[in-house]
Amino acid sequence: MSLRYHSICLIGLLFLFSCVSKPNGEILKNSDSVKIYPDYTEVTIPANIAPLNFLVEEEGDAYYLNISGEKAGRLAVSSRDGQFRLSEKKWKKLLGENLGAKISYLISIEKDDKWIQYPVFTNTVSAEKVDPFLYYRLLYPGYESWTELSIVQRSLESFKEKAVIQNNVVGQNCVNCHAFNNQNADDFMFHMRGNLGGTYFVEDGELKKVNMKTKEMQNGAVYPRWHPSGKYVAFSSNKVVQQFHSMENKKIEVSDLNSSLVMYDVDKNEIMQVPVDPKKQFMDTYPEWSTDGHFLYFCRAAQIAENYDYRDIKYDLYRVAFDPELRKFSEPELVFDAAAIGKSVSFPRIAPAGNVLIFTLHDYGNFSIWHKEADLYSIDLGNLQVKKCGNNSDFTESYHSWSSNSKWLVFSSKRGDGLTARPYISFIDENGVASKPFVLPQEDPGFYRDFVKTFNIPEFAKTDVDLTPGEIREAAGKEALQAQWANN
Amino acid sequence: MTSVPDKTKIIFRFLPAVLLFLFATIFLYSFTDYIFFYQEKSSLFQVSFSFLKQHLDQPGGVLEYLGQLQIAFYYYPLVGALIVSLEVLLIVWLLAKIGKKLGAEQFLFMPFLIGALLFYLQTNYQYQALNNLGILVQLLLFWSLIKSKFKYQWWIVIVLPILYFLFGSYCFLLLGLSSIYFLQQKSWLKLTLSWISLAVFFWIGKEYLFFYTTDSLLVFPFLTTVIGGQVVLFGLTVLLLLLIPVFAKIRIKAIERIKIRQIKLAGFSPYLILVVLVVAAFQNIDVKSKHYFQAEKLFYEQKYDELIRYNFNEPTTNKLTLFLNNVALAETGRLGDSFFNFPQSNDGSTLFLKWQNIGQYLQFGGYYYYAIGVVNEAQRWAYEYTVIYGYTPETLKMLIKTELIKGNYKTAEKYISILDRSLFYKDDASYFRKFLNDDAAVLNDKELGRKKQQDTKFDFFVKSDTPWLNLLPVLDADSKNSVALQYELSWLMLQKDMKGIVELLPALENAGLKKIPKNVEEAVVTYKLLRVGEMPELKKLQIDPQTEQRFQRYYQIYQQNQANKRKAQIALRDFADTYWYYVFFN
Repeated sequence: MSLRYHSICLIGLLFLFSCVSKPNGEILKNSDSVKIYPDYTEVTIPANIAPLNFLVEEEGDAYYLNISGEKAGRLAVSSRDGQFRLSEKKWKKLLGENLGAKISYLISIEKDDKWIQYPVFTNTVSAEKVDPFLYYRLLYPGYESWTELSIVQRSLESFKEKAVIQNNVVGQNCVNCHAFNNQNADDFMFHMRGNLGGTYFVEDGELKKVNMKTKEMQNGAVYPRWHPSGKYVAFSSNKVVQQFHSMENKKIEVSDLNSSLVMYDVDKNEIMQVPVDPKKQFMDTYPEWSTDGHFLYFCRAAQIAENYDYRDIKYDLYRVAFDPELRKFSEPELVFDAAAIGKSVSFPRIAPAGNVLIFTLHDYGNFSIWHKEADLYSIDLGNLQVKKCGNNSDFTESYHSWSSNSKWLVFSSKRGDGLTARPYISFIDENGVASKPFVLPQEDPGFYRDFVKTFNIPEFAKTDVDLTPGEIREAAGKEALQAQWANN
Repeated sequence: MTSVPDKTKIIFRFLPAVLLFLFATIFLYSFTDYIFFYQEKSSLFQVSFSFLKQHLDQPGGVLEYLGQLQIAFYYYPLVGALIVSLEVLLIVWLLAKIGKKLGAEQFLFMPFLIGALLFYLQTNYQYQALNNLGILVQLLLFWSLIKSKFKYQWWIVIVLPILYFLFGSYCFLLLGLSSIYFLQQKSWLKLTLSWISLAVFFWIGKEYLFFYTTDSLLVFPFLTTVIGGQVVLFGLTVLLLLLIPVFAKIRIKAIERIKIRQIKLAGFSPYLILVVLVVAAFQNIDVKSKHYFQAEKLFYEQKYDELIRYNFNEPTTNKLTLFLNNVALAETGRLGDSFFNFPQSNDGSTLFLKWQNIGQYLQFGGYYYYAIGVVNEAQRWAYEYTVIYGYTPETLKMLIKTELIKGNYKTAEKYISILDRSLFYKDDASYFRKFLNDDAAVLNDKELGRKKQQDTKFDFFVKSDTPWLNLLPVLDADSKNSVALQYELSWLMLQKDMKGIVELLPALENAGLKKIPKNVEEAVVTYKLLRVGEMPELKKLQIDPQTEQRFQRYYQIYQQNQANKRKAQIALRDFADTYWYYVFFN
């Protein structure tokens, strides 16, 4: 057969596949709303977020989506398989035209040559922007083992993702606990465990490797929080045990055997005990600084005895006043007595505005990611009133962090499948009320259905971390700077 | 009619090639098909962009990807044998062509020698597909290079960085071959620029692109493990390959003059190599591995009766095989009956696997927990294996089954989707898919339903370093769990704890057993007749008088020969499958 014949066939096929079906003729109206995945209905979104690509969970021959702005603009997309991948450029324009207003989604589905229109759902476009980057650690939600671990930077304004650190660069050491100071990538640190282990600080764009563990410390430095001045980093120093359930769906139990707080002075390279428990009666963990740097918040439970029951370990929220000039701490004070209501606190995080603290509340212990009942709660730091956040689910809500403008909260939630954590983003209004969250948008709308890794420690950041493999290798190969123990 | 030169060509060029191909195919398929079984069960190729993407973050990842694709076809051992043989044949053919192009008159010895060496290397079950595939592609590229017009040979300088990205360290073979070729051609600039081009890309990759160690960037995907530890032989083969341009130019007149009936010695050399290869290949059949993989195959297919029969007819001392055999015995309710029909280790290592980050331990250790009804733990072992070694068909099936049993349908669906993206397990994926969100279907399934009912209802922390300690809490929760009961009794038999065994007799009765299992009964009879302690009152279970008579006979023979242990052992060999024999001679 001739070349001409093949060309005609090819053009015909291309035409067939590029054909855009639009509702025409009689359009039936369905009163039941159509189910979409991920659920992006009735959410508040930042004006600079990447397109909320989604798929329609309804059988059909063709699909048509019309997004119209309350103020201006329109975006129409056709689909043969129910997947809507929106143009980044058009999406950005539509959101830009509708700041502080709503955008409405009208979905029509063609079934047996008839178009059916479904009820509209909306998004509210907030004029408050979210920080442009989200950092997280990608790992298999495994229990003991790891092979590939990476700390990843994802642009929230697009779908661009890049690895900032991968453990393979230094031979399968474990990388964890990345932390920024005030969402600023200039003050950035992470731990590396293994033969090239140490705590790595980004300092003036250079990587510095520090050995935090001194002979005076019973355990290594673990969960970090930067002091707002960037001069100090508070750590918990934990000895942790993992145990595995025979029956419960929780599978793993992670408990502290003992823990205390230490503080690293970045400029002086000194590490010191945070003297809040001189008699070693407590297990103190998860430090968090107040926005003005004058208080250190932390979680505290009674030190366990030999034959302890892990279900009896309950952490309360405490704080201690701190003088940054003199490096002096005062006496700790109770902020929230979780044990009194039979609960336990983890991950206190204060909004950069300084008015609200959000923590995770669960039945016991402090490793909330494996607690299905774990939910987010907020404390008004003015009157210490505690409220349950409105963005919780029946599944785990755990690690969370604030955007630099205190308007957005990203948190890990397992509401998708009960096993893998995904980053969800909520708008927090001036009264501290959290809106319905939306999952971090992905280019492929079915991404979360197949992706088996978990998103660990999601953190917003205003700037880009630009470490090259060569820089990491070079820093890892160097002798670690030994932190010096200081009494004050 | 075929002319005389054509006949010579057929006999000395094509016939050895055909013979090599036929021998390789038949040998691999008939005698070493366990290679294909092992490799196919060790990875899972997925038809998806994300799977390809996973292989693009490191130089050599594409070759690894192609190797896994080839291995996926080992699902059908005959196809595997044909692919491997064809690859070897193509390598031989390419080498002969390269030699001829470089000026050799009758270049057969080296191609056949290298082909034979590569085939021999392949008879090791750990020798991965990517090796011969990598070599084949590099030779193909080298052949293209020398066939190109001299002025167009610059393409190699441009393409080498891409080839490094695609094939990793295997492109160094091409670099080596082309370097020698350029040396011979006195193309100094091409030679220098080839090295510079690759070195510059390597440096850029190392500094800015690839999050891997320098060592890994240099050698991946080559690893000692992917060649089955055959470092010397593989090194020699690569060296011979590298020197092909040199061999093609060498003329040893003394050898060239040797002729048999007007035919040069070189013409016969492929036959000589083939003869040596046949002998060497048969000697390289790994009988122990063959036995083990056959047992593993039967185990995966849940042909437990066949597996037990196989191990009985062809006894083994391999602990992993015996572990699988014990799981098969337990799953078929015969552990207490036939435990000592097979060698057992008194430390329990044939009964349980202790937690260790070793591939085969993680791969199989969970089956013990699956058998006794600690589904969480069975899943954990499969999961940890997956995290370290990646997906394999069987661990993925275990993950699916355990998630279905637990009712975690969303997670099960993810795993089913992965299985569905494989080439040859789509039917399994479809089978599992029908259980999603259907508790009744899970309960009605023969295997899943039984395991769901058996799944322990008592929560405790699993002790994976001392696996036997998990049996009592399982039995506390469900005293009718006959599999756990059999394991506990077997463990007590290994410990020679007759009192413990006798104390479990009421539990055995409670579990609905109508007869005391043979080996257990032997322990009970010993306890009773030697008056070690009180016997519990039993309602239904009775001791078979014949067992008591057998013990009396055993004891009599033993006493007659007790002065000489060796002699006693020989005299009592008819009792080798008894508890008594184990107690006295272990």
